[in-house]
Amino acid sequence: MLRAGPLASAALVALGVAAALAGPASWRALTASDAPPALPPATSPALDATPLAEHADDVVDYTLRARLDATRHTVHGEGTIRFRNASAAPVRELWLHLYLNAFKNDLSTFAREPSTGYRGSAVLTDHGTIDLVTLSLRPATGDAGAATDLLPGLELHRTDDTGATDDDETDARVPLPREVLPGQAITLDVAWDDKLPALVFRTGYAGSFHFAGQWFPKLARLEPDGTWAHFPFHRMAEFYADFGTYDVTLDVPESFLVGATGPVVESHFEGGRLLDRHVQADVHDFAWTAWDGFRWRDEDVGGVKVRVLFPEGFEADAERELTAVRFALPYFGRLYGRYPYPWLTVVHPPESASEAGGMEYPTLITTGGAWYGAPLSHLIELVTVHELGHQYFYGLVATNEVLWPFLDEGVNSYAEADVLHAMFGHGSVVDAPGFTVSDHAVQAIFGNASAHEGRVAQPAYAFSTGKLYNELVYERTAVILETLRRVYGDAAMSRSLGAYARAFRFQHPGPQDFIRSFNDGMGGEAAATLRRALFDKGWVDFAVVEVESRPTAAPRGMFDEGGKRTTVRDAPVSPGGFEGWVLVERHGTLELPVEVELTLEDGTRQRVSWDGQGDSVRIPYRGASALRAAVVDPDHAVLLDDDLTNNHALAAEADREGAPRVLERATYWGELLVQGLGP
Amino acid sequence: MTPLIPVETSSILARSRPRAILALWTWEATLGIVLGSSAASVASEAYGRHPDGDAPLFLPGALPLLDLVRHSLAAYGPLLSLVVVIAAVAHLVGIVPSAAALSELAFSSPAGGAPRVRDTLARAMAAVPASFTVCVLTLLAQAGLLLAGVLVASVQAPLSAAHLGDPGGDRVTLAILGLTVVAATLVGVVGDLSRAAVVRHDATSIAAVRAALRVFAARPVALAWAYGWRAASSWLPVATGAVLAARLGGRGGLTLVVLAAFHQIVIVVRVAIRTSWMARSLRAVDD
Repeated sequence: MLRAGPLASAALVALGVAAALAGPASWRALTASDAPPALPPATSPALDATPLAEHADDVVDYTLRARLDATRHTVHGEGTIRFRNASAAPVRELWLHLYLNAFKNDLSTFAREPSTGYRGSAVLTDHGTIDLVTLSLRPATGDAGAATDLLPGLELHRTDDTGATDDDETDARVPLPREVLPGQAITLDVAWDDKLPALVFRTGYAGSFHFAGQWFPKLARLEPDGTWAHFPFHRMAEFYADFGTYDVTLDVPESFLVGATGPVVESHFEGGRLLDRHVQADVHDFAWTAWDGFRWRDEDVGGVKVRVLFPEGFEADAERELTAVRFALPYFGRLYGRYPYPWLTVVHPPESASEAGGMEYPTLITTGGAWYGAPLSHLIELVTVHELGHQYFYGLVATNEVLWPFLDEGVNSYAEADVLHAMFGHGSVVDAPGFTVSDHAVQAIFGNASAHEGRVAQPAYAFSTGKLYNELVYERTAVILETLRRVYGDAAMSRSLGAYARAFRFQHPGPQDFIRSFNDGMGGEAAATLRRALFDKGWVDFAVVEVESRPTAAPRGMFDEGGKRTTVRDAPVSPGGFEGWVLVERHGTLELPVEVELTLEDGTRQRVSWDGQGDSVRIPYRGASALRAAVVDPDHAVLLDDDLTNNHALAAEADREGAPRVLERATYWGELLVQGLGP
Repeated sequence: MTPLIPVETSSILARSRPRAILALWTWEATLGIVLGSSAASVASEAYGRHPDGDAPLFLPGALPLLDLVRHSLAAYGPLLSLVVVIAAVAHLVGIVPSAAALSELAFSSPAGGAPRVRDTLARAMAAVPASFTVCVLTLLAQAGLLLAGVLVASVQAPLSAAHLGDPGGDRVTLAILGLTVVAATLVGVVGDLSRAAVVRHDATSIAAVRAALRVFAARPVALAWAYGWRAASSWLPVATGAVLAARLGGRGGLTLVVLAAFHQIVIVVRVAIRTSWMARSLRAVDD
């Protein structure tokens, strides 16, 4: 017996391989659609022919120089901001976002907002600030005289979005001494000092690693009607700005490597310092990182130079991130128009700075994960693809993240799951032998869990918890869009979302533009469903309620014929004929067409379509075999379906199938557990 | 009760007592079925009326499975309670079948064959108090070791990461945790030897532990290897079972029967390997 273990093990391997080759065809049929598509779904020729905007309307240009003190974790910045009034109204004031002040003290809007279920809940151990040193307005072109100091008039915004007064110092109003008429431009000279916070939320430092997002005084966005879309720094959303050109020279210790928005156009060493000049047009933000621990890999992906920055020992992660970019960049390009920039930086922060991971900035994204990757999962690829998708839904389609976060995070979560499915099929999140979990499934479970808790389409600061924000903005939006794709098809989705992404490239669309695109591409019914799901807590739950059939027989009862009444008590049964019905109900407010699959006693299956209108449908049945069961939405097209456990029913006289597979697996696992816990 | 005759040391072999293997498997299968039935009842409630039964729960992507998990939250409390109860039963009441298996291996009837079940059980019951004490002592020692290991690992983690980088730091942490697990396993080996001494020599718990420590100290490598190769090889059938289950997915019918049979063979093989270790322990404490 001592040698029986290995011998028996070898015998079991042989038996296992033999058994694995067996198996009924029904299971293979059930899983026949597992294979992911090898290529992105084709867009329509009309979409492919749609001319893409080459450039954004250049509204605000920043020419900045920033010097990092890597020991004190400070940045001294100075430069100019050129702003053009692109609105239809004169401008008499500016609004500046001083977002690093979110980390100044516990009175900031950021510090006071709920963080339950969201990132960045760690205690801030070292605070951060941004202090303006200079803010002056240059004289108008042709005017003589000195610049006007604007600092004395600067007012920190003390009223939050709900109208309550607060002590937040991230949103500042700057009165102008003269009007800026539509089309006119002004130039500001600025200088400021940053103290970067300890990295507990996106930006700051961890050891010598520095990540600088929201690090400079930044103009809010001027809407076409002349109003400023300005906000304090919120915990869950922060982005909305005008497009422009950023010309930024970063001055860091010479041992550091820099990653930043846009390509390096000049680089040299000077006095023990590295000076990198980055220039990028057609973007609306600029972020950078500097660290003396970075390794890098460069690769050309379809004409885009991709640089991955990562810590030593993270080579495997870097390769996975590059693989994701290699696949996703052309995939996104095919669906939403080509990536217009020549450069993309992917930053993998060290584990001590993991909070800097999972963020998006123009031409720069951050990922994350341990050096040993995420075994049996595709989480590294998921984060990479998600942040890359933001180059479209945030970067190019520059929606207001604070007011309508679903337009970037939600739409992008849909795009992320789409790419991941194309890459990895059903194992897009967990990919273990015999057990896979898809991104679509995860999104459906979390997205549907909060369907009744709040509206998807609401400002970021209106969500009561971070968990609700996550589930409604990210997951539910993605589930809504994936449901529409599955129900109305890839082509309709392409005509809707693909057209939206192209039409609003370098634009700032709102929810109405989004829904209008679906109305145009998918039809009024789908657009109405989309609106209801986003704005009215729309939900749906399909259920099979009854499955009935009986042998077809002539009618019984009393019949008047030829002035004579006859009674038929025992009508003859038609040989081999059955008739009956399946009753399917639709609960909720969303109307979606759906398939119903009828299973007959002889094992055959039939599909019937229901347009989903009305609260229920009674599907008549007539056939040679008795009805055995019915399943509504057998392909799970309606990911929004709130409860899949009521999507099926057996005829009353049919034998229950039970759960033999679960019984077998759970018994086996139970035995292994007992063995593990035994004395 | 018929007096039992100690089996000659070199003849203490698992293969000569298949009844011990069968008894341990029956015990484990019974507890496994209790757990499995509870989980299956949750699945059956939701998918028993699906034309494909619970097959959708095994679909790639896990959408129906996760949906069921979400809608069965109320069932988890009782199910978790059951798992805790089974775990306690497995560990504490499990001392009895374990002692019975040791008795079956260590003794024979006066005629030289396997002892009668009644006699084996009587011998096992007599050994239960001391075996229980040994189990508690072993558990306490293992828990203490693991706690200390986790504490040391977590305290040094930021320091080693700062000096060696994330991969280097994680490797140091992993090494500390690995050594802790090895140490706890060796404590378990001493515990097994102690229980063998309780049954074989009718020793008190303290005397058994002393004897076990003496035996282990005399031949640590040989005993660690004897335990180690058995422990390692017992995972091979589990891995094979996992590969097979992965390949078969949610297939039903005859395929499911084959899988169930295969899984039970895996369990029996593991029981046999465990019984082989029991026999080795009994031989060791005779030295």
